[in-house]
Amino acid sequence: MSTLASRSNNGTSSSPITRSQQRTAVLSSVLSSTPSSSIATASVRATARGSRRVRQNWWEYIVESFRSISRTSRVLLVLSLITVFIQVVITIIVLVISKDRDCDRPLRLFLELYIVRVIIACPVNVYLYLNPRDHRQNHEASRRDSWVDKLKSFLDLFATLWFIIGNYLLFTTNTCQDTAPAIFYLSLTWVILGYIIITIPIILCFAVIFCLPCVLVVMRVLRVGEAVGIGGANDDVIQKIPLVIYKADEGIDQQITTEPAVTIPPPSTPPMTVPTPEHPPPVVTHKKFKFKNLFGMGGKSSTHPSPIIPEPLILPNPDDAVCAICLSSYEDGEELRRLWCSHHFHKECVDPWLAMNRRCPNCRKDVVEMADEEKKKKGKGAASDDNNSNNNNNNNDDYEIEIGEGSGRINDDENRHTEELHQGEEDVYRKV
Amino acid sequence: MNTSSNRRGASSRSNITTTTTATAGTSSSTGKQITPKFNPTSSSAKRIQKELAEISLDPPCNCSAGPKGDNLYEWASTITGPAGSPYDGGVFFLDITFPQDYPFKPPKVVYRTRIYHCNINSSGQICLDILKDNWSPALTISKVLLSICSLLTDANPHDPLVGSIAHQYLHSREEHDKVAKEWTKRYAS
Repeated sequence: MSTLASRSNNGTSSSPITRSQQRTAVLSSVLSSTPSSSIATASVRATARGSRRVRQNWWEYIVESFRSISRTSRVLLVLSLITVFIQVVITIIVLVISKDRDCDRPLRLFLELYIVRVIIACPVNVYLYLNPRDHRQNHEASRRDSWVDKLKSFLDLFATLWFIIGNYLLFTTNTCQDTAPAIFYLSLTWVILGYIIITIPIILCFAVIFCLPCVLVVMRVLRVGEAVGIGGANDDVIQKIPLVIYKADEGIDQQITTEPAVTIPPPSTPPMTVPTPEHPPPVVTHKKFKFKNLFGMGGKSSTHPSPIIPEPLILPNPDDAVCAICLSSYEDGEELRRLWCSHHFHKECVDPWLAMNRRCPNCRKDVVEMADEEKKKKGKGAASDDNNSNNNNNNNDDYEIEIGEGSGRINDDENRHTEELHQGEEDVYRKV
Repeated sequence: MNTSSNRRGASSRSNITTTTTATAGTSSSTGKQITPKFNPTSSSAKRIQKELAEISLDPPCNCSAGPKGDNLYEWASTITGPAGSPYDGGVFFLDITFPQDYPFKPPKVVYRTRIYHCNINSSGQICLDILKDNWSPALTISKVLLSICSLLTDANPHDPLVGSIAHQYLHSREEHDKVAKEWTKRYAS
């Protein structure tokens, strides 16, 4: 139980591990403690707290996973849960109503086993939704996954068989329509549902062949590209990018020529010290907010607490104080986003771009990857803050290499610019 | 044709100086007006105007560009064949069309003059990554023209638009250069 506690602490505190690791940790803690939870409920008071913790862990795990999956999967998951619920309720009602009505075919048995299959498949489906294949990492989890996969394919096989049997029963029956109409029509409904599910791929094929634009529109609406890993960055990721406030310094021109380092703060600090609002599910006061957050629709005010005061950004070279997107120079007090590759743009210029394309306009580094790296780095660098500046420098080197490889001659100009900027930064370091 | 475009450039330049001062005067107020919801039309026009100023004041070598008429989003451009390439001495006309959400979508650049090049097809379409997937809003039209220019010196036969020319470029370069020179003479001078 103590390990469980420590693990759960890991899960809840703003610990550095990535979300998926976090989730697997919580999951393993949950799974390892399930047997003890049953014991706990048996031997009442002493472990009541423990069992509550287990429940909390389950909830935490589910919430955490639910947040981390893509929006499309979230919608699909909720929809499938709703259908399962409706199916189960309707079937049970019908079975209860027509308790003593019988006919020449065992349609009652058909319905009973059908609903048992649906109920068993439900948690399996939830598990598979919450653990998409690309998130599966550690060995233990992969064994569990293979087990789940087997169960899932068995259930699918059974569903297919049962569908065929249902067809057979419905086509061969003579009396059911009259003697047990409710059961008959419900079976018919589920079989028709089966037909619809079977025909979905066929409909999709036809749609692709005859109406490709419609499919593309639907894909855009459902944000399929996001799930596949192309296209723009999520709004959460964009919101995590540190904001800075541009501060124009009147006398900066003269100071550059004489002594450049006087007014300039160490330039590497902002991305590290600006408290980016990444957090495990917050202990939320309002349930409404919680629910909205789950769907990623919550207002930014609720997910991202406002009291982050953006750091001022003073640029030594006035030539750098230009937004590469709108080509206008920064005005005093304007909000800039400073990406982790240390390129900065107007907030309102770069946000729409990142929503379409997740690469930095200057160095083409993937913002989502940078966000992940940043998260990891924060974990490692939390103990030793001094290393951060070094890290940052390394980071810069990385992207310069990338420019050289990726976009060849076109970016030479920018390359020079960034190099100049670095020169400036290094000077600053030396002085400081 | 050259002189006319120069004249146009000069006249537009005088326009630009006035517009830039105007924008500089109002930019502080407009900067605050920008709401989170991006207004593509006005910001793209602003940006194109800035680029026009830049390209008129400091044109990239071998290239010139400017709006065709009143429409800021429709430009014409000329590229002179770089020395040392088979296109040397040719003057190639291009059409540039900026989309309404410009810095976020690449401009459409099309050759109006026929050219014998493995990355440019007979209707003038250019196969260049930065005009498609690799577009970045930090690129400007002068950078795009520069890279189109450098495409003339160094073709990319491994990602061709016209396979036969690419094949010829790789396997019988002299033949290719000869035909390219002929085409340049016939269509571009």
